[in-house]
Amino acid sequence: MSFRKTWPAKAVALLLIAAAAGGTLIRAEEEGDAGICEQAAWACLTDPYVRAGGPAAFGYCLGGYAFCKKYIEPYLEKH
Amino acid sequence: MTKTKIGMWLTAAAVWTAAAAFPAPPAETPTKIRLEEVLTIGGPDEETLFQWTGVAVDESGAIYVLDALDFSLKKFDAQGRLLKKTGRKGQGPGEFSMPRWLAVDKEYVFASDQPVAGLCVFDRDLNFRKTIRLSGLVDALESRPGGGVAVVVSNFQDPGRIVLLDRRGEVEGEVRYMTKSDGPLLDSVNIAAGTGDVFTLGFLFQDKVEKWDAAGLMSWTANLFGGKAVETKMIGGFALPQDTCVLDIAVDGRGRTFALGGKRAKNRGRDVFVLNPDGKVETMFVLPEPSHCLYIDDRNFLYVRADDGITLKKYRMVFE
Repeated sequence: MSFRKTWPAKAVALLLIAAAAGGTLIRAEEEGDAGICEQAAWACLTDPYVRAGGPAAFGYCLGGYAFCKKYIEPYLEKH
Repeated sequence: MTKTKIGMWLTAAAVWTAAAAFPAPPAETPTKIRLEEVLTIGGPDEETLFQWTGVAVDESGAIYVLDALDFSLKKFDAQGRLLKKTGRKGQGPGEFSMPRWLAVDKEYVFASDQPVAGLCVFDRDLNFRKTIRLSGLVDALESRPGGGVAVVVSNFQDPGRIVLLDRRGEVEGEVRYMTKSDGPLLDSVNIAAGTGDVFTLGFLFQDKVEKWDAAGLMSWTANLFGGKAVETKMIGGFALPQDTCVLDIAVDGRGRTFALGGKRAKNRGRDVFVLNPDGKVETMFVLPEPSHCLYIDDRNFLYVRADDGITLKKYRMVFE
């Protein structure tokens, strides 16, 4: 698969890696049928390092979620 | 009354009658907009663009593009020939990890990186000049007609702030379009700037387009999709909005606002709503392919995405 075709996965991975820091992506019971952006945001917002970071770190997660909704989700739904 | 005065009154009456009978033509009100393709940069068979995110055009027609997959800033001439490329993956000076927004003024090119609370500044030959530090992540970026940039700074605890920077990157002022948010990301906007530091905002997660001036006064607000609030879902303790409303916004030389519809639109990333300078929806048109952004240069050419970001298209807008 070409580099270009895998860009959404890479972009989501960036979001996840920055947040998860070794954590496991677990579907939260509050998420229900969560999409990729919701899963990534959940992983980011519930990460202990992020929680320790306070509002600035939450802002990072929220910015990533907005980016995902705008750029990545439409691509994944199309393909 | 002298004959002269009578003549003047008769003339005035005749002019008034003629004006009533033949009213001045209204300002151009487009009922239909047709796109004529004038330039293509990149494409599936080229290695020019990989996933472009931001675009800006200077007064010479040179096109600046941020490429997220290439971690680079590229400059093309008006014919689409690559002139220069700069940047690489990283978080050092002039480096990018997830480049996103771009603006150009008469001297400098300003670029944002998604996880960085600041801007990278290059000269128009793409030589890195400096980094501008900001108090939050960059939610949106737009050049100011008089020089410098307007930056929407995202701050979880301090929403709705547009910071006005001069050409040197010094803070000149601030505009507040929201002082308190009803939920996370509801202040997230795209921005277009007009003469005199007038800003049009398209809300990413609210069905709203608004026009604000530098004094912090709102001229008008408009809904594109009936005004219904976006549904939220609890994620990690935050009520996050689900559907995008306005993906991007641009203003043309006549003060018309072009708003690109998100998931709320019938055709996500393709429906473009055209609002007159008073904020009334005049017409709409549909882009040939979905885009995450739209940009209008000072000659009223439209720039949008094609081929999932591998291609940039430039169109002439024909008003019929």
